[in-house]
Amino acid sequence: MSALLRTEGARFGRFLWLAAVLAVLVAFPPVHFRSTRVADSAGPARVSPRAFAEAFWEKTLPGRRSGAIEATELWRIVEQDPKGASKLGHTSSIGGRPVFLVRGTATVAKLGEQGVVLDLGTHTTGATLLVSGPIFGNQLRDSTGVIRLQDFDSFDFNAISAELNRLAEERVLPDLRKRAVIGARVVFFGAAEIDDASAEHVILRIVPIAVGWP
Amino acid sequence: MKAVRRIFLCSVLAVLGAAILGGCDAGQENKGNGRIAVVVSTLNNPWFVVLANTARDEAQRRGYQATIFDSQNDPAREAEHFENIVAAGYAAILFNPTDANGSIANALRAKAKQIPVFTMDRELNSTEATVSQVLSDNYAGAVTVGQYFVETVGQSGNYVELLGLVSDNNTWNRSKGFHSVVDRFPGLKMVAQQSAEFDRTKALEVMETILQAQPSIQAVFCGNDAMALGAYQALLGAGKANSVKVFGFDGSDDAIHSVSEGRLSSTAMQYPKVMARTVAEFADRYLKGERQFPQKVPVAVDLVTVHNVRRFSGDERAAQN
Repeated sequence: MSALLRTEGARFGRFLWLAAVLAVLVAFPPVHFRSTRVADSAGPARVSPRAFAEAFWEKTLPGRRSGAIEATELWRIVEQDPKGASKLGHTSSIGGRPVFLVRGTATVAKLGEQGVVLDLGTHTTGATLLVSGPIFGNQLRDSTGVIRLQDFDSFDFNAISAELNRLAEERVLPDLRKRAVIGARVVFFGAAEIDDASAEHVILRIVPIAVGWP
Repeated sequence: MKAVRRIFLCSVLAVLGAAILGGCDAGQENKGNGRIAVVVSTLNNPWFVVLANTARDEAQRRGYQATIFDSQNDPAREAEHFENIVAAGYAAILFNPTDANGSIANALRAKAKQIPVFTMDRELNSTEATVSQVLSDNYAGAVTVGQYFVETVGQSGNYVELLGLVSDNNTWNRSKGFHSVVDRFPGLKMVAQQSAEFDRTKALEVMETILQAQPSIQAVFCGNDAMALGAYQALLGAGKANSVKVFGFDGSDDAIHSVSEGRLSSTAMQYPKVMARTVAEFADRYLKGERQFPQKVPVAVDLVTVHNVRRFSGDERAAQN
């Protein structure tokens, strides 16, 4: 009888051990199985920045020319109500400078290192500059408000800017550099930003999308 | 004896069943409990301390209990934090990831439990894992640094680039923005490009090594301020602090002070408080029922130089940031 009880006790002891080990394994599993569905969560479809920029340059931007604000009008609004003026532009970021699509006719007043200084035929509190050197930044990309970061991979979003800058440099700047002489009349359409980093020298900096010589 | 065994067996089965069910409740709706987790890549950098503390404070101001989890730049530790956060049933996660790809799985695990995730400062390469991502416009900021670099260093010379974490998108967006300008000037030659993982001590060591191989340099561009200050220390030790210009990125207090003192040529002011407050506000609105959020929200970055550093110091900075 006592031998039977000892056997029963030993089996019960083994059972206890097994149960304890199982409980520990469930509570602290040595192996974790995780979903491999990361690939399914990929971001927006990648685009060709070059192809996208060319389509934007050729199809979207020309259609925005008639709705662009006259440069003289933009200056007038900026001088009267700087904060209100910002509503006329687009920005891609919180706290970013607004970018405006502008157009106008002016006289070449000066040829500077950074670009062609324009005389708009009216007094303005700062200079109006048509960029003729290397183009950097996001003015062209952000000028319409239709290209938004949330629709792109961030690398593509930035590469689109570089491609648009390249298009302006290849298709507009050679003509601007060649024909801009002091006193020449120029018709322009571009993406403008107000550079007020220096309070004494406010500049309306225009990246040209198209220039003409009437 | 048999009765005792039956009772014990039933108890063990009940415990196992509860444990298994507890582990299989994926997909059950998170009811929210007023607790928000702030998961930050590191607290070993003052900039991220500001980011995490502001997110926590803003969440608390909006009536939530908020806890900061420090991943110590370790994806494995970050994964552990997410396991604990999900198990504890937090209502939302304000997330500064360690890895643009590797951290996606963590965010997805939280999403599977109906816990919304909002990233701040660092991007995840996924539009499905998070409700919204609030990010610095690093590329545009680095373009302005590149322009100032050319303006101050000139159109020729040798320079070094110290990269941040190579798995982080910010590292590459800053590098690409900088090179979009500098590479246009063939006279500017990058003689070394190496990662110092956004870390001041590593930057000091890396820069010391680079200086032995490249003693003739005119400038160093660093992907963040901690590395810029580490690089400056190395240059100081080598007696080159006055002849080599150092450019940072972040806008940390140390860097702003160094710009005003002339030790750094420039930094780029990111706005950690703006980002942290924005994600805390988004989380609050989400938990109150709103569901329409922009997937990605860029925040502007401003160049800080000796010419405008006063705008970014003291009270004026506090008012802006």
